[in-house]
Amino acid sequence: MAEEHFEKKLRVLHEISNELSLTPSVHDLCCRAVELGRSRLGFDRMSTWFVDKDPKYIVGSFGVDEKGRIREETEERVAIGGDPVMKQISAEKAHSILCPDVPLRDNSGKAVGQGSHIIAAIWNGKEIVGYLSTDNLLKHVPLTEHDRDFVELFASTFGHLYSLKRTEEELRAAYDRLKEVQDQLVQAAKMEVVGGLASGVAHEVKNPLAIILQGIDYLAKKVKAKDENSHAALMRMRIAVKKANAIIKGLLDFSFTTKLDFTSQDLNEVIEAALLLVSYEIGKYHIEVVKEFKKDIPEVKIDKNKAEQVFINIFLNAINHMPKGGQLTIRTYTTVTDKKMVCADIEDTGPGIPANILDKVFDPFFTTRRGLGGTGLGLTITKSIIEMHKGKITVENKKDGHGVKVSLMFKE
Amino acid sequence: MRKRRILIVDDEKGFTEMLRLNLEDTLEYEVRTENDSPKALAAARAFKPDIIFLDIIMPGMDGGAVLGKLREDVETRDIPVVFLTAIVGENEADSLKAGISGYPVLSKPVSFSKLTECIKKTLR
Ligand SMILES: Nc1ncnc2c1ncn2[C@@H]1O[C@H](COP(=O)(O)OP(=O)(O)OP(=O)(O)O)[C@@H](O)[C@H]1O
Ligand SMILES: [Mg+2]
Repeated sequence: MAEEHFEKKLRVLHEISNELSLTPSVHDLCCRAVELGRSRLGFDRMSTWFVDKDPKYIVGSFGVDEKGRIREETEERVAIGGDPVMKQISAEKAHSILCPDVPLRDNSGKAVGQGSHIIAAIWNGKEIVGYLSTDNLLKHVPLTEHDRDFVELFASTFGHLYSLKRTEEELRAAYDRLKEVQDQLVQAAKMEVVGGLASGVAHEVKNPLAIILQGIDYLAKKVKAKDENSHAALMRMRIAVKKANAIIKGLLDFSFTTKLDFTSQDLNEVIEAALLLVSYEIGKYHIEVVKEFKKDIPEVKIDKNKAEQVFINIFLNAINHMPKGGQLTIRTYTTVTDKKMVCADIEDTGPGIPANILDKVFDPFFTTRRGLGGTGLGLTITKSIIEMHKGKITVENKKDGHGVKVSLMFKE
Repeated sequence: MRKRRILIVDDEKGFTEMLRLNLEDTLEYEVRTENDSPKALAAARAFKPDIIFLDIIMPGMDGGAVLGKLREDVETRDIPVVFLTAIVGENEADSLKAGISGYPVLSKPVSFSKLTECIKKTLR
């Protein structure tokens, strides 16, 4: 009978450990462990504490009470000496201790009953990483040496899994950091190449363009005034030269994003400066500018000229798409989700961006304004600048379906 | 009155020749072109231009260095200089900053009307 019981419990332990090994994070592992430990091994309460970096302290307890409610106190940090049993386990490097008749306490330390109580070290094979305690507060069934054995086994299974998951999480975090740094390095290297290439190509192309333009001007003087077709042909050539030159300028702007001069700036002021630079277009197309600026916005470390360029590009895109007038709304605000960010939203009341091209707008040379002087580098450059600032940019259609919303985030 | 003289210094021969064609076509200017910096300095002294168009990035001696030499020489010291360059890189921007600022700059490609406008303004 006792043997059967023992076997059954072993099977349960095995099942629990299988299930725990599938939990995705340390946190989930801990919650699930106390939950399953209590319910499947048949105790009334179970909780865990973990040894701090300073081994004299324990932190981050997870517990499940007699009603099955999970409690989680990741901030709590207490001296290990406060609990004589834990202190004894720690001192003797023991595995577990059964206390036959002691006051049973609740989470706040208040005695809520009397009975037996097991504390087991959570061993990871090398050291004690925490403590697990369990009791039968409600059932009043005394805990036995058998129970102690199981709790000890359970605690050490849990300890191994705990260390494994922690290592896994640390590895993953280290990998993510590495990946991020590598991406930045690759990006920087790419920009370096693009930069070198761009100025080389630009120089080589600008000279021929200069010759062509002078040639066009020369021929324009030679062609008879009434030869309209020839003049039209020359005009087209002139426009083509301008276009080619604009593309080169864009490429250069793009490549110059490598070198940034960071200073502390008030984003509202940067926006005002950028607005001033597009005031001609704003007037010409009867754009109403609505400013919803957050006052006393925290300063951000940015390259002022490049940041201005970002806003100019976005403003011009908005204005380009409201040739019959419209509203340009600029909102600044801060967020605290994730990290502290200083943000700006820019909205227009133009036609919006067709869904099928929304994911292309950042592509180099992607433009729907090819005949109208668009190079398709505006947003490419903008994104590159934002990335150099480790900020974020998103372009989306407004919820109301009328116009585009561009959101920028800068690190505080 | 003798025609106004223009010296164009640029390592790109196609460009200097094209400019010559255009400028001489107006019958207002006498044009000399040089595609090499040392020769340009000699030309500046011998030809005595009323204005010099100077490229910045050139093999050997760049536009900034040419300007320096021109300014050292009493014969050429007072000749107005206009930079005519494909401002494309920080190299050019840097050499412009390094002591050449204050001189007018035209960037390639430049239209002929802009060019003549600049000449008229400089010679006035
Ligand atoms: N506010 C906007 N409303 C509608 N479409 C937009 C808006 N902003 C960008 N787009 C779309 O994204 C494309 C790419 O924009 P991007 O700024 O990169 O290039 P462009 O504006 O076409 O050219 P350039 O910036 O050289 O003038 C645009 O051609 C347009 O189709
Ligand atoms: Mg644009």
